[in-house]
Order: sequence, then C-alpha cells, then structure tokens
Amino acid sequence: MRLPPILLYVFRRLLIGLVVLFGISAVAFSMAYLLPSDPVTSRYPDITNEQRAEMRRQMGLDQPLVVQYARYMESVFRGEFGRSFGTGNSVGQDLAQRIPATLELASFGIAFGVLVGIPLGLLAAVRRGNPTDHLVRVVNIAIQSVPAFWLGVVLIFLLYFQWRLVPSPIGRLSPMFVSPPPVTGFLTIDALLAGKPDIAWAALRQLMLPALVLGLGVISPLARITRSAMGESLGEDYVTFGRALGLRSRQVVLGDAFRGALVPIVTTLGFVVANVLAGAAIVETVFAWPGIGRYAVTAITTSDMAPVSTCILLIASSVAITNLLVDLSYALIDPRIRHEYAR
Amino acid sequence: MGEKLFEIQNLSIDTRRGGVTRRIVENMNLAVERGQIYGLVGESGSGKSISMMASVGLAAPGLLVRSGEVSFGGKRLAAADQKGLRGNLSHGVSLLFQNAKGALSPFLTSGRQVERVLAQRRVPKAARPKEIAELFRLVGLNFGDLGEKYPHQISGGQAQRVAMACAMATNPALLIADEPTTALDVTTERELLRFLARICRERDMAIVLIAHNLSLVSEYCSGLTIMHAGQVVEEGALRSIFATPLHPYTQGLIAAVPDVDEPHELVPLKGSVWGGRSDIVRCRFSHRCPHVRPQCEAGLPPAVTRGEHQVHCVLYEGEAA
Repeated sequence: MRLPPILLYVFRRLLIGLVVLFGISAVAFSMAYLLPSDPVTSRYPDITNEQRAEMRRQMGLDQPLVVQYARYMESVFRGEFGRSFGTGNSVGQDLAQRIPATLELASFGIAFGVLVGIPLGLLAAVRRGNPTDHLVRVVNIAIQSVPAFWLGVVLIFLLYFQWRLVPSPIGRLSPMFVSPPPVTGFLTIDALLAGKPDIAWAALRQLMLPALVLGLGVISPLARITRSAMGESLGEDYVTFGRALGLRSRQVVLGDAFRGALVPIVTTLGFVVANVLAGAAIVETVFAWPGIGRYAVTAITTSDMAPVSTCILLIASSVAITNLLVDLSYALIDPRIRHEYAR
Repeated sequence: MGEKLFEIQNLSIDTRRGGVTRRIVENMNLAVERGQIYGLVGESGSGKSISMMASVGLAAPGLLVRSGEVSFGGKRLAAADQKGLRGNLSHGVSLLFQNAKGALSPFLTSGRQVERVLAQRRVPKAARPKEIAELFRLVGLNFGDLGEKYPHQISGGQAQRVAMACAMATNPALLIADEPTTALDVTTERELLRFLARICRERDMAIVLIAHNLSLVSEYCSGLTIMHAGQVVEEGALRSIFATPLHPYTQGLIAAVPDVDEPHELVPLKGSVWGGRSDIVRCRFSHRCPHVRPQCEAGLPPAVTRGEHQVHCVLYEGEAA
C-alpha cells in the first residue's frame, strides 16, 4: 500500500526535524557549559576546595564534555532529560508539571491576540484610508511600543493593588481552591470537566491578566499582515466576480478574500507563536506563573545545565512543529498548494 | 425599435490622484434593447470597463461617480448610488471578465462555484445538482469531467465557460462581457462568441460586449458605441457606422482593421489615448486628429444624427442631416 503523499511529506519533515533537533541539542548543551559560572559555587559559595571537588565528582561535572553530553543524551532517550540541580528532580518530571501551565497561558494569550488582531486588520483593510484605518494604525503602534514587563507590573498595580478587580498574581490558582484532577493539564478545562465551574472561573481570573499581556504582542503583527494581505486579495478578480454574481459581501470578503489572505497571515502567526514562547519567560516571571519560561530563567541564573539545554531543545522543537503545522495548513487553505504537495 | 432594457445617461466619473482631479468618463450615454448584442469599443484605457463597472455598482474604490443615471428593466437609479446599483447584480445583470481563471475563486471546485450562486438565489438543495448539470451543458461543458476540478486545473477557455455557467446561474437579462475572449486563442475566441450569440437568442438575453477589436464586434453586434479617452464619439446602429464612419477616430479604427475580403493598407492610429493636454473641455481626440480645428478645443459638440447613428464631431456641426 502506498502512503498518501501528504503523509509522506509529514514523515519526511519530521525526520528532518529530528536531525535538526539532534544538532541543536549538541549546541545547546555546549552553550550551557559556556556560561561563565559554576553550578557548585553558585549554589554553595562557602565550601572548601575538597568539598567542591567532591560535589563536582558526584554531579558528574569532572567528566569531559563529550562524556557529559553522552550521559545527557542517554537520559534524554529515557525521557528524563538530565537532572536539575535546583529541584533535584529529573528535568522531564519538572517539565511535565510546568508545560501545561505555559501551554494554557500561551493558548489563551494567542487566542486573545488572534481574536483581536485579525478583526482589527480586517476592519482596517475594508475601511482602507478611512478614519477607522488610521485609528487601527494608532492602536497598533501604541500596543507595540509598550513592553510586556512594564505593562504587566502596571496592570497588576492598577487592577489588583488599586482596584481589586483581579486576584493577586500568585500563579495559576489561588491556594483557597483545590486543583481539579488533571486531564488536559489546562486548569480551566479540567475544572469544568470535574464539574466545578467556580474553580474554572477562579483559574480564568488568574489567567486573564498574564494572557492579556502575552497576547498583546500578537495583535500588531497579525493586524498589520491581515490589513496588507486583505488589501491585496480584495483587489483580486475573483472578489470582483463574486460581487458581480451578487454573492453576499460577507461571503466574498470573509469567504474568498480572507481565504486568499490566509497564507501570509498563518505564516506570520507561526513566527509570532515562536516569539510568544520566548516572551512567556518575562510574563511568567512578572505573574509568578509556574511555567517553563520561569523555570528556564531560574535555571540560567543558577547555571543549572540540564534544564537550560532542555528548555532550549523544547523551544526549538516547538518552533519546528509550529513551522510544520504552518506548512501543512497551506495545503488546507489553498487547493493549488495541496496539489503541489501531492506531486 | 425594441424595448429599452438597460440605459446609461450622462455618466461622468472622476479620479483624484495627488490632489489632481481628472475626468475619465465624460457624459457617457448607452442604451441596450432587450435581446440585443451591443458593442462598446475603444482602445485600452478609454473608459469602457470603468463606465460599465460603475453602471452595475462596482466602481473601483477611489473613483468618484459625479453624475448620471442608470436604468435597468424600468428601475432608474442615480449612478452615484453604487450600493443600489449592486442590487441589480444577480437580479437580471451579470458579468464576465477578461481573466476568467482569476475571476473564479481559486478555493472552490467548478461545481461549487456554480452551486453557491444557486444557493444565493435560494434554489433548494435537492434541485441544485440537476440545475448545475444543466448549466454546465448549456455552456458546453460536461459536469462529470470538470465539476470536481479547481480553476487551476482547467484551461482558460474552460474557465471562461465555468464563469459563464456562474453568470447564467443568475438567469440574467443582461450580460456585460468585458473582453471575455482577450485571454483566449483565436479559435476558442470564435467558438465562445458564437456560443454567446446562441445563448442570447435562446434566452432573449442582451449582451454588452466590451472589446477593443472592431472586427470581432462587427460580426455579432447590432449596436455600437465608440469611446475615446472617456468620451463617446460615435454611437448607433452598427451597419450604419460601418457603412459611413463619421468621426475621425472611428475612421481610424476601421482603417486599422485588416479585411480579408477587401485588403487595404492598414493605417495605425497615431498617439495615445490620454496624450495631449489633460484638461477636461476639449475633444480628447484632437491631439491625434488629422482634421483638427480650433473649435475642437471648445469641447465635444452635441450629437449630430446621420442615418441610423450619431456622431460627436465639429466636422458635422451645422450640416443638414
């Protein structure tokens, strides 16, 4: 039996992705060792040289870099991804706890950014040159020029400290509530699955502010690409012909023109997602969010090598997967590309 | 004279670029009878497409419709009421474009393109397959062969026929065909036009055929309007215009058409459509005209009737018909 061409394509891309990730793991691992600090000294500043040598031997730091890398890779294949000096757990365990937190934050943030950014861009494209268009441009510039670390702190100060509109920024769920049994790892969804809408609401209230700050970075690039891509596709002959056939404006603009603009929009979204994952570190630190961003920052400041290289690996693989999904979505959006892949 | 189906009166359109306003269609008139094939001819950029698009409410953004009225099937609307005019689309008026492949949505199969027009007309779902197959047959295509194909998988001629099936799905009384054959080769062109003429007879549908090729128009049309740089220079019965072309521009156009039966020396027209001074008043052919006179600068004169057609030219002013 022959595989469908699209599956072959996915398979090939995954294989290439694995090779690339292997290379990245080597670079990431050696880079973690280039950090100009020593994990033992930074953790125990007041110990004797003998104690330090003993600690290094126990942690395996006395071995040559190649041996350490081989040990790390062996542990990667066991799913442990090395051991964190900071938490004492295997990095795999640590990440399993933290990835859902970051995923939930990033999903809500990106969803917010997409739901605001794309309609803004559509509005600007349809009302090109009108006051609405200019207003959207001003809003975009304003959003883009506000840094997340500043906005996060200001919003916490106003909405929590001054007006008590949101709960205190202490992670995913206030300690007054019991976490629902994990199913998806998303607290909001798990709480609903467990039939506890009050916990879902509490989790959502914790999530709102950091997701908003994270999602703001998504708005401007999406709005801008939507406006320009729509501006182009609205001038296509098929849009005019659709109108000439008396099709409803909504069908022509949102059906044909938007679909025609979707390839550049999705491409931009792919870049933006990578940025969001990197930007999550700042937002998670400001909002005490127990995700991988904060984990990575802590690991870097304490020269915790295995978590650092694993986090780099994680971000690299999520970028690779996002790119693959973006490329696959082209085939879904445009039959011309679909037939191109099938060849 | 048959019943007037579609009429444009005194249509004027401006563009504004960099603060400079320019009139690109000036006082255009056009009348089409029910079931008539009417030609609208002029060089590229003479305002043919722009005026026809504006007459159905599809004036490109940035164009300013200054004056004029359009009536279709007894309903009269101001040309500036573009939204109102769009109401005629799918209610008796349909269009065909030059670039048929680009005019079809790249995301839908041929069958779906036609189906959504039927859906818009609220044809019940159960009745659609039969009607789609019938429309495909009407335009000389086989639904089984092409129904599931996307526009990029079919030829230009097939695409134009699918576009035609879409247009015919609205059951139009008037089809505005904007150079529908320009992108096609000569044999496909003839085939398509013959076929358009046949549908016209069978369904009592009128066509406005926008073209820059006079010989094409001469074969199929009974009425003709000749435009130059946004001005109508000569209009009326095609026979009469071809028998005695009056305006120097018309004479120039006819002299530039090769004739197999009576070979004559081809005389290309000098200059370009929008050359010369860009003010609005003068006859805009004056800078290319071999018979130019001082009065030409005063503007396009009112129509003078000769035989079954009218001409706008100072050469015939004050002469008895």
